[in-house]
Amino acid sequence: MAEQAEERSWVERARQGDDEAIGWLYRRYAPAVFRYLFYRLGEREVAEDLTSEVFVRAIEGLPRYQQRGLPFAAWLYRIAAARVVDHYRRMRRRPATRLQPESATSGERAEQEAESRLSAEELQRGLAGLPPAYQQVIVLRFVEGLSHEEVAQVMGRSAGAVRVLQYRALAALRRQLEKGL
Amino acid sequence: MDRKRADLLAAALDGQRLPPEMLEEAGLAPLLGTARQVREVRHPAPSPAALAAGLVRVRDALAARRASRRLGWFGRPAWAALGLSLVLVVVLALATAGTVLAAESSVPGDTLYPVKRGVEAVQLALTWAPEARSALLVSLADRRLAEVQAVCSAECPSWLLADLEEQSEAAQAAVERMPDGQRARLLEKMFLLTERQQEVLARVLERAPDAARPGLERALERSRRGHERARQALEKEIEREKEMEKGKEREENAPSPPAHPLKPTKEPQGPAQGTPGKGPKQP
Repeated sequence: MAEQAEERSWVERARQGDDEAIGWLYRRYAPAVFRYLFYRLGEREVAEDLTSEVFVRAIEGLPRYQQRGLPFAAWLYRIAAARVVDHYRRMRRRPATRLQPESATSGERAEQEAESRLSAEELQRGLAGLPPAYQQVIVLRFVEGLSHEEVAQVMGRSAGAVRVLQYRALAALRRQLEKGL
Repeated sequence: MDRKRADLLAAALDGQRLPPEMLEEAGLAPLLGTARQVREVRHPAPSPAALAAGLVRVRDALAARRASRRLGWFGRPAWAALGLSLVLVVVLALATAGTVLAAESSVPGDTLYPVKRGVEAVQLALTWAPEARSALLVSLADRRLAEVQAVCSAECPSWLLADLEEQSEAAQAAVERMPDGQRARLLEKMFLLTERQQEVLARVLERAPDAARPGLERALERSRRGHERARQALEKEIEREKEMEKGKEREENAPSPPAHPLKPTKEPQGPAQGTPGKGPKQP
């Protein structure tokens, strides 16, 4: 609770243009926004660029942000999701075509897959073949560690819908990983 | 069916203890395994340099936009196109050329000072070319400094110090955004301007009344930071220009290629150094 109150006060100061508050919010949330963008876009440099853009938009939009409604992190993820859409619109290409899959590997590796540790690249390749809503739910739930309710707030859906989405997304990701490994 | 499984999966993921047979029966064990794998991934992090550069970009963008907002609709090209001609006509009709000229030297508190700021806003809105706009922003920051020098010893309006800071930041940001090769001259100006700012602000601070001191001290601190930023940007630019010159010299001094592209040179060639391919991006 104290942490939330502290965050609220920083957000309020940032709303008034306080430079220190903007720096605090950036340092606290930029890594999470970057991870989200990296897994959605698959390109480190683009994710780094868009991270700062997300913050500019978030801070400019603070007058519209209702403290009682959405947590600040959820507000950032929403803006990041919109930037992902914008990015693909600008690039005029589909997310699924952004990365070439690695060359096929032996069946032995497929057997070991259940026990093996995934790398960030493998996860990203697996996510690249999924619909955007599936990507979003996987990243927010298992990379960022948000609860079902928090994901529901970010995605503008009910918690029940998020649970169904999560089930389908995990099944689809598993199929993708089995294909790729 | 999906709904039931989804709820069961969600419960298991939330840490509820469920009989393994139930999970097996619903075919959820592999999905729990996938979720665990994702959670255990060592996730990428932005480099500290990228984080720092990102924060600078955020602050620059916000400073530039704040400066533009202060100018109201004058700062926005779409509105400017619509309304500026009208404003120009009104300004020109109301103010004779002499009035505008006289306004040039006005300072806060003078009757003609709003005219001066109005003309500046019009100039800024009509100047879109990056180099000209950057130069104009630098010269406006310079004007604010002259005004601080003129009025702050007696009474220092806080909005004037805020304008000085914002216009300096907007100028620095605009100069840094200019393409390579065009920014050195303006970076030099920014460097000198911020140096002068510190001198002037320090002098004014010595004589300022107590009430004006906190604002002046803050402006002085900002100016020091601005000066440091300008110095670093200038050094980087000079370094870049030096590298370019070295590159040119190397090209000029390089042995001329063989007359025929298929004829080898007399110098023995070492083993070919293949250009490293672009591997997958490492987060």
